[in-house]
Amino acid sequence: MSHWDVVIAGAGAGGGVAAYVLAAAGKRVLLLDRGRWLDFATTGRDHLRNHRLATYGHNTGPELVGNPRVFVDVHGTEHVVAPNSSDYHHNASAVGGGTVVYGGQAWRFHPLDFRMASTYGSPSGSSLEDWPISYDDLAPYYELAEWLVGVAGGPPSSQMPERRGYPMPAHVLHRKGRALRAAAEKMGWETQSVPLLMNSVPWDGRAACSNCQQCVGFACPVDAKNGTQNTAIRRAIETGNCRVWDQAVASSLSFEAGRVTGLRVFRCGSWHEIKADAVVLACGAIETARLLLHSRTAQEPNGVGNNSDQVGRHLQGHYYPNAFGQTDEPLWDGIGPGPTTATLDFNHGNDGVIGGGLLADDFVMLPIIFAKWWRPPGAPAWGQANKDWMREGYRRSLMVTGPVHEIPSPDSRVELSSRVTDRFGIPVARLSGTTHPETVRTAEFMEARAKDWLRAAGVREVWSKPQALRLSAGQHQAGTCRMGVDPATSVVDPWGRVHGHENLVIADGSVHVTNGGFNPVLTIMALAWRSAERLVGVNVEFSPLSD
Amino acid sequence: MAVADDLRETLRGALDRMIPADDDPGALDLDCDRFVLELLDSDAELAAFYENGLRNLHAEGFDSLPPDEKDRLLSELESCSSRDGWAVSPSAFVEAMAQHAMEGFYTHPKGWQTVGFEVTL
Ligand SMILES: Cc1cc2nc3c(=O)[nH]c(=O)nc-3n(C[C@H](O)[C@H](O)[C@H](O)COP(=O)(O)OP(=O)(O)OC[C@H]3O[C@@H](n4cnc5c(N)ncnc54)[C@H](O)[C@@H]3O)c2cc1C
Ligand code: SF4
Repeated sequence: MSHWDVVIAGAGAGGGVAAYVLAAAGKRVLLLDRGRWLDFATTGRDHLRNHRLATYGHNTGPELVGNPRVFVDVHGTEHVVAPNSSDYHHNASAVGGGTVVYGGQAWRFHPLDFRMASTYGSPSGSSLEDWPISYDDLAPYYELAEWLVGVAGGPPSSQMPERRGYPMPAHVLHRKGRALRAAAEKMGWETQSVPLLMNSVPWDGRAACSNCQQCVGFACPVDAKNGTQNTAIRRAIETGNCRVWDQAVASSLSFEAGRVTGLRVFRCGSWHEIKADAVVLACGAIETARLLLHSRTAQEPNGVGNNSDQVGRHLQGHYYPNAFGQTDEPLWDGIGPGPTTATLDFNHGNDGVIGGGLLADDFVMLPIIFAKWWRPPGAPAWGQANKDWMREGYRRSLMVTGPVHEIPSPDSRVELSSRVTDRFGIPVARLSGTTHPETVRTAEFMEARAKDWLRAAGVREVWSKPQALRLSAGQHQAGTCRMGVDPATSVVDPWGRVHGHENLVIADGSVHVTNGGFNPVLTIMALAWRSAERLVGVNVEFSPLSD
Repeated sequence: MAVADDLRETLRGALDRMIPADDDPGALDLDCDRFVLELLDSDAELAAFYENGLRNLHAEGFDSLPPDEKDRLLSELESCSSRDGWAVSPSAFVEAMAQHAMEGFYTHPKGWQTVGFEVTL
């Protein structure tokens, strides 16, 4: 078919959900991704080549050769980096995008996360702003995403609004979680279970989680992890209205007389002009910005949506303050995936800092990660003493961590490199800038709370990785095409449509004005639903019971 | 060959000190030398770095030292960012060997057993 109702570039979290909504509404959809269909068999369990530790590669796309980016460090020096470098700020390329290998924490943002500037004021030099929509606007779509993709969890903390329950009960509580709950209670902190996009019971025709020890960064051996590839995209295909092309790279938008008419796509060795009534971009916050900047017309000579020089700015992610230490008795019971217990007491209302974030326990840690990341300062790096420390410490280790609401900077940005191109000769993304210094202060505040929590759990010596000013984008990348009502200060309108282009919608983390004090994926999914629905003009409901 | 034959023994000797065998296996028991050689085969820059580090270690008489003397020499090197005759930084070299030994060792199921990382699926 040469003409589609909608073509979607990027089959990750946002693109996958948009595909489902559009296909369920009867639209003929072409969903394409530069990555491949992947599963456990094709991604494996290499502890040095995965999306938690990518020392020598990773287990999704893109290929390490032919897809560079340029990273500008804090001294202004440019580095050409490969996809497995942390400076590449990669998420994951595959049908399903990041959701194939993610940790599946399924947080809603806090109502005040949408109103950061009016709650705290916007510090000078930052681009902290309110969202043009509120929590209440998004709440129904959060619920739809929770049921479509499948969340397991318990009731929310009293810090959050009431909501309907999840389709599945919370995952098993392990010993570390029990210890942290007891410690929180001692301090008068409230805790809740960590909502996870993983089956705690058999669901949606797939197995329950086997509580294995190698979850985050890997695909699931029993297909109990709910990504878009096995939920939203599968259901989109089942409608009969959606075709998926994997290994298909979108390079730029096509136009007639300034109106978007489709996408230029490379697949199976040649270039294709894909025509569609509407285009949805969901390539992730870095690649969506790059595609817009690379699509130029007489009316928009600096890139589509970029007449106000906003595309690519406000690139943000999350700082992850943490605290680490050892309990007297081993608490390791090996029950995965790992995050069981969170507090939302410090997301807002903290004296002297802007915002805050959640704190929780973490995924079961791979031994090599323990060895590389968690040696305390001054401890021996090799030899008998290091081996003893590993043996003694691994099963007694306890960690608390969580994402901090970033205070964005307009100078943290994606541009096109003027000298480096990819395997097609297209300029690659150039990443530069850092977050605003206020983010570091908030991260330090949260680090202190993480330490409090461990000490209350009986950890005598607590340490952390120090916080420093840097670019944070990474796996939680967001903000490069922010949403707003004013085209002078934003790229898309409150429905994800690029200003001035009613048939061009952005449905990924790019549109976040700020990135919440929570992992972002559920918000990306909810927004994609809402924007896709608006594009077709009909409400799309979902209930697994109606199957 | 990423590492000249006469330096293989130096490499093995140094890796053995990075993670010595005791009641549990050590780096050599879990083939960390092969792990490093494979790494060097795929990375010419790293191979040249190792070649220089091992050549200097060898020249300092490392191979014939008893274990605790080997450790003493490695500790001393670990604290030197430069040293006469060395083209590479001794501390970076020791640090790299420690990282690579751990990468080979703690990604091996028998290395997991030493710390109690039990895998159920
Ligand atoms: C290991 C890991 C753990 C994570 N854990 C969590 C978690 O617990 N909770 C949470 O909320 N978030 C988590 N995340 C982050 C989460 O996965 C991302 O926030 C989310 O996937 C972003 O959604 P997106 O739609 O913006 O982009 P993505 O999901 O990244 O999808 C973008 C897709 O676009 C494709 N693409 C890019 N460029 C092109 C092009 N030119 N043409 C065609 N296709 C293209 C890519 O291949 C990719 O598949 C994790 C991520 C990782 C990697
Ligand atoms: S912990 Fe559960 S969901 Fe995660 S990979 Fe293992 S079995 Fe799958």
